[in-house]
Amino acid sequence: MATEVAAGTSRRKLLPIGNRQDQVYWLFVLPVLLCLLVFFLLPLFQVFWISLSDPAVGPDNYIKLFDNRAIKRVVLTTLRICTITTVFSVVIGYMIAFTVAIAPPRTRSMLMFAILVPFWMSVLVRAFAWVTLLRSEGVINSFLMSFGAISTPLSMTNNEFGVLVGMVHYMVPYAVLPLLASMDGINPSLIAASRGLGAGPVQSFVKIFMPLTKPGIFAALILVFIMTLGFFVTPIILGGGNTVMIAEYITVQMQQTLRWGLASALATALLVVVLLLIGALSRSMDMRKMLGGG
Amino acid sequence: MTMHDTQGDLCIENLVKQYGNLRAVDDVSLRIRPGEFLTLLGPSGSGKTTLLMMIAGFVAADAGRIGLGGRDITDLAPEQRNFGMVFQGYALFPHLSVRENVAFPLKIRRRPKSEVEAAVKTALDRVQMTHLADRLPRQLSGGQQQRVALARAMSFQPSLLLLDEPLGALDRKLRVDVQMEIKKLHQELGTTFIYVTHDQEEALSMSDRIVIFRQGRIAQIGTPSELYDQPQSRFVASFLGESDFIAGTVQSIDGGIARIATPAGEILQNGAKHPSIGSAITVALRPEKIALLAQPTADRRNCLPGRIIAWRYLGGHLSFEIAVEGIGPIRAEIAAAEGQPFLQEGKRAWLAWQPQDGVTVTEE
Ligand SMILES: Nc1ncnc2c1ncn2[C@@H]1O[C@H](COP(=O)(O)OP(=O)(O)O)[C@@H](O)[C@H]1O
Ligand SMILES: [Mg+2]
Repeated sequence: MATEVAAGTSRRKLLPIGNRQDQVYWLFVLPVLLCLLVFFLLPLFQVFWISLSDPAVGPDNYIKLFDNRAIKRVVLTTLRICTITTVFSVVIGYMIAFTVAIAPPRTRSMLMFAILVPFWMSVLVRAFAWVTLLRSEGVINSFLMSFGAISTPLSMTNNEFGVLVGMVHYMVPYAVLPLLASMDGINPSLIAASRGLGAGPVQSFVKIFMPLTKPGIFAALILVFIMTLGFFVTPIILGGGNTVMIAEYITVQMQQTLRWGLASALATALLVVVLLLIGALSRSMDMRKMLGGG
Repeated sequence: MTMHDTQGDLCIENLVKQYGNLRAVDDVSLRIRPGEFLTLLGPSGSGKTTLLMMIAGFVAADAGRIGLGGRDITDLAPEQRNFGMVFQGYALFPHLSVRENVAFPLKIRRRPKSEVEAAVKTALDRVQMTHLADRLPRQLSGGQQQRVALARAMSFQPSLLLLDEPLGALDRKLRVDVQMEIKKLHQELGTTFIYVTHDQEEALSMSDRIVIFRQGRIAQIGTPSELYDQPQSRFVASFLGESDFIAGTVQSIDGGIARIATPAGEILQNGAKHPSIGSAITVALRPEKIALLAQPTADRRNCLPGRIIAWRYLGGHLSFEIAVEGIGPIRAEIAAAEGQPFLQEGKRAWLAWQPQDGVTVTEE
């Protein structure tokens, strides 16, 4: 009985139809909904339609996704880069989040600032900054060569390595936020209890702290993976055409080879994968809480 | 400084913990005997938790030392002290079942599997939680979580059990039940219990000895009845139970009885060590020691006049508030039948008691 009432009220909040106040509310939201419909959903539907109708009506483009060798290579490259980026970002993010979580308040706000600054920096700027650091005549190579640590420059750009560095760097803050949220949620007295009951610091970390951050780890993994799937600028600049990921490949199909149907099919497939992952993510965690919001 | 602890004594010597300008624990010395139920009692913020955390090893001492059975453990890591601990709020591991929580200290100690199972069962049986062994902590009520925390703290048979306000989150009725259970557990286990609370009734009903804390310092140590009957300071007399205070000046001392001049008249007070003649003195008096009389009488040797201000009916007895000229309001608890004639505001009454009923206390 009580649950029925609760469900009833929450449903009314979700679908605010009926009283006058709610109608005014809809009036304000309507323009936004219309914009979304005209400029987002319709084009999206058009993309889907193109994927089924260009050059001929039918599922040909989707079949091609599975037996075209070039596409297979791009997909595999994308999955490999995204997986490696995700793992490194989450591992590095975990260490940073842990440092922040145990830092005293003043240090913490400084660290948080450092973590959030990249959010305000253009991805383009960051990719070029890495080029400056990593290229043959770049800062790192000339430094290493200046005292003879290496004789020929290491090749760190125009390849997968460069892409990975740029992408991990971009993604780490996104990994930190959900991880930090889950660490902040841990009651410090649990760790004290673990120590008091005989577990050393390492054991307490492995047996108590880590397991309690599992939802955060899961969220970080999926969030970072989703975001890396769509990477475009960083692979182009740091990969120099040698490391082609899906987003770049789609652009090439659209702008150069003009195979719009295939490009649309790829885009649609990517969208479906991302939506499935978001579904898994939102099921495991409250999204707003995960991103540190209120 | 040497430690003269006998076998198994926990010996705390001149312990200090400083937080900025605040001395949370200020020069505390204490000896706890094996098997004792010792309660740290004091108002919130008086340093009880800090001292307990220092004993557990979570808070480092700024000065002083802690010894256990002759061994200095001041700088020993918490996990090496082998003390059981029940935290404020229980601190059960939310991702582990009741059984796994209780097994945790045993598994950490790498006890053989069969032994772990047996010990977990014994501990859960003790607190009557065996039937809920597979639940997660969040599926338990507050009282049940509290029991699991107890079982976990004792499953590995620690020599010392530290409990920080373990009943703080329970409602009143449940609290009394669990008090009895903890007391029983203490008797069965024979383990030393160090118990923190700010609830005086809890302290009085459970402890072998009580340490009363005030602003990081020990105000007084003693058995519940010692503390109740012979408080040394105004603070202890008013913190543990209720007291009336009568201040005056010592006029003469005759055979252990001091004659004290107060603004309301002269009173007599028994005592072994009275302050010198002419100095100030404060007498604490429990409200239940006071009798109300319509006329002054000779067989109660202390008699002060007053007027009834207010009264409350408390079941078996009446609690009166009586204005005494020059002293202020005095509380008296009178058996309901004897109080009947005085249920009238402004009525004159005589407060009477014997010289041995009061206790001389310091003005702190
Ligand atoms: N980590 C800390 N940092 C600063 N002050 C603290 C800290 N822990 C406790 N205190 C202060 O020390 C005093 C004693 O605290 P505590 O031992 O928790 O008291 P109690 O348990 O008796 O309520 C309080 O005034 C508290 O604010
Ligand atoms: Mg406390």
